[in-house]
Amino acid sequence: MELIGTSAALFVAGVVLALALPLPSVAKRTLLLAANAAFLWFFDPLAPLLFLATALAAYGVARLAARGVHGVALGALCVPLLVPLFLPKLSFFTDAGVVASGAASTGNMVGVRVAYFIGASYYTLRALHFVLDAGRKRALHLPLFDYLVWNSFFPTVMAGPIERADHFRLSYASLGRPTREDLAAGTAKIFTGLLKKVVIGGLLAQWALPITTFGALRPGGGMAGAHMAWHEAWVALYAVALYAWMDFAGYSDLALGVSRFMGLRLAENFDNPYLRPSIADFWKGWHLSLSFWIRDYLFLPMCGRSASKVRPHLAALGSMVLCGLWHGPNLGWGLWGLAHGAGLSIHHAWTLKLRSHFKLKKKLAQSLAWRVFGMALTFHFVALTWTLVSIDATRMGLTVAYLRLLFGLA
Amino acid sequence: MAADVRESLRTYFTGKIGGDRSLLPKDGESLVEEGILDSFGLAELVALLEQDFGVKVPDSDIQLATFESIDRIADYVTARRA
Repeated sequence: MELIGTSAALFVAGVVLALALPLPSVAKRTLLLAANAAFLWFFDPLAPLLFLATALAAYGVARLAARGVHGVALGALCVPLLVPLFLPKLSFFTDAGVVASGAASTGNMVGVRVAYFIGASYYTLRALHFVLDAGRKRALHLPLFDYLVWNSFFPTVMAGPIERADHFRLSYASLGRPTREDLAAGTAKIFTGLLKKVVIGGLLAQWALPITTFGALRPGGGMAGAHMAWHEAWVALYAVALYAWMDFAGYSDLALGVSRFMGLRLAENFDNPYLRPSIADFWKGWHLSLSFWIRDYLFLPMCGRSASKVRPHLAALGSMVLCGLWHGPNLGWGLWGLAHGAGLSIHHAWTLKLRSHFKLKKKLAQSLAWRVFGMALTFHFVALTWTLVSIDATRMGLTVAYLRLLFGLA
Repeated sequence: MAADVRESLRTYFTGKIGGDRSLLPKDGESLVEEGILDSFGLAELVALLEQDFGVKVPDSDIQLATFESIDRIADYVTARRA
């Protein structure tokens, strides 16, 4: 089933209307769980079963964590939960059909996967959040049935947001009972989502073709992009950077909009990431649900409780490399994570320096020119990191060739 | 006791901004919004609270919102000691 198309629209409309029927709450919840299972089933009949196995295993671990199992024992119990996260992305599991139809249409460049693991990248992260929070708070956010509804929630199962259980719970009682405000906000979100993903994203995808097809062999011989001028290379780079934002933010808007029609209020996932004056601020606007997941469950635990000046830098590098490998376990995504980790680390070192000249720091923060400079620098840094994964994340030679084109060195 | 904690925190954060106490925000104002405390600085702050103030900070509390301002941190230390 395509993510945006007639069958998807009919499916969403059917679920929204069915949930609006005057049914008892338990019936609405059961209906939504069935819809979630059907959504996964459309991709592969085995997908709901694999979700169920992973989710039930995670729930069992979460119960143990809530009872006090922690440290190495909890870590060991979590390891099997990582299997559906990485196994389908390994090359020997590659399914060419899904690469073409499934992964590409999610728009978040998650790489290859087989159909029966569809959604695993996201439902596994949600499950791990559930387990780790259970350990920290000595309590479960949701009972089993509602946990399954939340973790398989179909608007978010394919490409996020990674809605947190405690936030999901806030509006869960309103399931199937949208207010007028929900309907208005949902309509606006769906409109902006379609505008971003279909209209603007569609245009940008065309302009980004010189980079996304760079290095491909042409039917008549030769390599695509071999004779590209440097300014064409920059236009394509800007287009791919903006495409990644519009496409992904558009999908998130659609997920939020559809959820509002069901009476559910999910957390925002994007907030003008390219208008941020630093790389640290960029991650407060880009894929927020993932960014906060990385911060809370990787970066901060890696920092520990230490006064070490070096450890936060290592934690930034480590957590961002893992973030990259989550997108795809290959060299390109690993380097992408390393670049972002290094960017955050360098920015922190700069911040510390500037903070010790606090008067100057405040003055710069109020300067429009300084903010614009920061935005331009951040945007170009992020755009350049897209070259690591937009061409061919497994062939860095092509990325190097493209970078040479950009800087007139070809 | 609470006044001592506040004073120690003021000294700690003054050190972070180059030593000029007059530039430090008021106790109730956000250290995060002023750019004095961020995720990178949380671990060091938690280490300070645990080692110098003798409070145990559980993992679930290690977030910027818990330590938004000097007032909040002082209140947190007082509550954890109680």
